[in-house]
Amino acid sequence: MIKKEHVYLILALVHLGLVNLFIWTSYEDEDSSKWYSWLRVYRDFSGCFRDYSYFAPNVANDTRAIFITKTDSDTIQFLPFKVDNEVANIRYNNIISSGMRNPKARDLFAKSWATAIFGYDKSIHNVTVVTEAYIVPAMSDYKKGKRPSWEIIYAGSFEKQVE
Amino acid sequence: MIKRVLEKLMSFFFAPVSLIPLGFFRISIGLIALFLLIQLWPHLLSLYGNFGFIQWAIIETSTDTWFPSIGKLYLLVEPYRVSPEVCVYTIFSIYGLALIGFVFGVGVRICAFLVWLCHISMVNSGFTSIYGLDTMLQVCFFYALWMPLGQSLTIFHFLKKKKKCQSVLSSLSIRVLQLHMCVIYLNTSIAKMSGAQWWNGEAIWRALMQPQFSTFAYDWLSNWPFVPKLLGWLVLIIEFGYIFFIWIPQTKKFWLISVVLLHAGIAIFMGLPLFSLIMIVMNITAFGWSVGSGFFVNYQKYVYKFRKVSFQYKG
Repeated sequence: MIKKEHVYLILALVHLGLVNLFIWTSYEDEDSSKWYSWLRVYRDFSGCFRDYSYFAPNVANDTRAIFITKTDSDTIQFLPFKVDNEVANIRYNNIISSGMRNPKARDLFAKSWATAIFGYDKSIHNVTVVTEAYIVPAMSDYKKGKRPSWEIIYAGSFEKQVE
Repeated sequence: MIKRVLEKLMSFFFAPVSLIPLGFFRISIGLIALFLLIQLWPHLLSLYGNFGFIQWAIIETSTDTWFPSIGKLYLLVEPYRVSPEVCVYTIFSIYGLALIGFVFGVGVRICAFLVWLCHISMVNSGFTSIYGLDTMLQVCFFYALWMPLGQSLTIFHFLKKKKKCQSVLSSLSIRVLQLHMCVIYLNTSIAKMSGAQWWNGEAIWRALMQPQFSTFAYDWLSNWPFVPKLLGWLVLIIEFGYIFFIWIPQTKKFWLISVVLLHAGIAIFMGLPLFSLIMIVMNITAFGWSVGSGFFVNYQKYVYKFRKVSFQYKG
């Protein structure tokens, strides 16, 4: 006779099976049919939308961004893409690194950041987005005198279109 | 044969456990999420707003999917002249209130559902800003939907208005979390092992030298390359060994302490305290307690001692 415990156990095993499926394969992304879309819903609802390969296989370069803004009175300002709160800064850093990850999407994300800056101060009419990556030399190179440096990976200028 | 396998499975998944870890889990993840919310509150519009750094037109998923998001809520309430900003603050206010109820253990199921729903909306609306902490919180909140988290350490238990009651789901919950933790460490260790950086120490060196994570000066490591190499190997051993040694009674405590220290190290040396804290909470919930041989509090031993002492006193 099937007991309540058996049902719970089957559900738990199915869940763990799906967790493994989502983490180790991209099976749910292979098709756009209804069955696959339900799998994607379950994946996102259960928090398995990303694998757990943190800092792996390699540690990525740190990134930072600054905005060079020009106001109507031709004042130039340098605004860093960071705030005085470390918890929030981790998120801003993630926005920068995920925006710069795909070279094809860089313009799109930089434009989005510039739009936010235009909204931040109405007198700003031009925003230049500069993004840099922190290049850390290998330990052996560091020992030989090579030092970490910020290198520009993206620069884009955006002009506000006034109708 | 099938009957025997089923019996083994049943005894593994439904062995009696203490209810305390589930209460500890509820309070801990609730407090972490609440602290995170308080920290992010002044930045909500920049991170999740329609005119924040990533506008909804870019981040929002297609409207024909089931994924809840702040933008989708706005589409529903837009005819009533509700602004996008009000939408953002409404979602996060509900999230905050539900978290308070969740922590205190008031209406745990309803609060867990609201917390889970608001959190997935937050994840979908701020997908580019999320990291490991959010993934783990979403996993925890999903488990909170069906785990009996209101069976211990609620305000009603402290006021003695409710008694702890064992549920068949308590044991199953702990087992599922234990197995999920093993999947996490297996996945992360294999991913690390597939690159050269974790074997030659460059990963530790690079992680510690990043301005984002660097809390102290680590350039001296270049003169002692075996130190980061050793640390890298240690991380691989702890993470990969977890899936085996956490199950062996003789090595369980040692491995649990090792993994807790590993996360404490990440918190201190890489400045990721919240992520580390949630990993520590998940580990302690999963493997920190067990009936008869409780790691942090040996309830059975104390109850036995108390009974023995009171018996002797009466005698």
